[in-house]
Amino acid sequence: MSVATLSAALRVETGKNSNRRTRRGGRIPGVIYGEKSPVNITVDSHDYYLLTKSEHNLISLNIENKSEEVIIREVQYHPVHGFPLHIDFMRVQKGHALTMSVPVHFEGRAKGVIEGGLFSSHLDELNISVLPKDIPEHIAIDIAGLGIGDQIRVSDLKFETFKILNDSHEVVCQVQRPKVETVVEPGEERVEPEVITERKPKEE
Amino acid sequence: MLMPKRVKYRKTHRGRMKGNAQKGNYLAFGTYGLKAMESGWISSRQIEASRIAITRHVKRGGKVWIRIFPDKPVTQKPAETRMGKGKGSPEFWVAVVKPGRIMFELEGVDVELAKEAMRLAAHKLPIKTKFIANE
Repeated sequence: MSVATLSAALRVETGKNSNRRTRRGGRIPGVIYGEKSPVNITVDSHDYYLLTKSEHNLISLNIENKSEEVIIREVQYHPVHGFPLHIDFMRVQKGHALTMSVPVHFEGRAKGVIEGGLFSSHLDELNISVLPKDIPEHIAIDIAGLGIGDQIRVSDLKFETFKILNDSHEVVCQVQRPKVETVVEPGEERVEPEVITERKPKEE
Repeated sequence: MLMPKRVKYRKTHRGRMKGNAQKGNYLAFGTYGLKAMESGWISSRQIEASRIAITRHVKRGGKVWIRIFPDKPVTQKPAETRMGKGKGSPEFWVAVVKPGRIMFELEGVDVELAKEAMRLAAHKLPIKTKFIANE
């Protein structure tokens, strides 16, 4: 498994205003935590963008000529523009299993979809427990054999290098029969909803 | 059309639409979505028109989710009525939408079909929107 490299700089100033200045300067504020004390950092936004395009989960983060192996634990995004606002990195200790979520890739075209069914994925990511050396870039699931009404559950997935932590009954994906839209008669509509606090007329 | 089954009060104040959407601002169910880029009131008729536009365009394939619900009553006074004599009667229902809110989600179709379906749906809405995809 390949390791991506990313350079970071130490961040002394903290708080809303300095972080906004950092973002305007083309860098993203972040933090590294785990094992040792947390360190505030910034990373270049373009370098981070390139990193997200390559599917690497393990990152070698260079801070002032020292490198640390980390994974991305959480990213906060702007609700409108979708730019990353803050990145949480977590240190990785060799030989110790860690829990993380890895994206799922569905490979092939389901048999049921060719027959007119509707493929729906319920889990885009799976939570796994894995050693740092075995971290997969993604989890590939072959869906070619799925017919209409078939589904893949977490219990159907078996991997040697890591353990899936999701509930074994959870459905990962399925092929459903397409629903026919029911036409609602115009006369069936309610006129006004029931008012809970409405005062009832007094009885005399 | 969408409207609540039960409400606590028949009429509400208009309220303010400050800031961005703090919830419902990510794709939770589908692969594609229509994101609001402005704030506004989306009426139940507009939601229904958009839903029909999407479902008709994607035909049989695809699954649609509506992520907004019109739970705010809008009142109006009758035409040619003098001011006063109390608040008007509830006329229709709206959903308050802020920038960043995902209003519709779609799954099970290719990106070109989804983009066109969302474009048609966006024409039924009174605000600026953006097509987003989770790939």
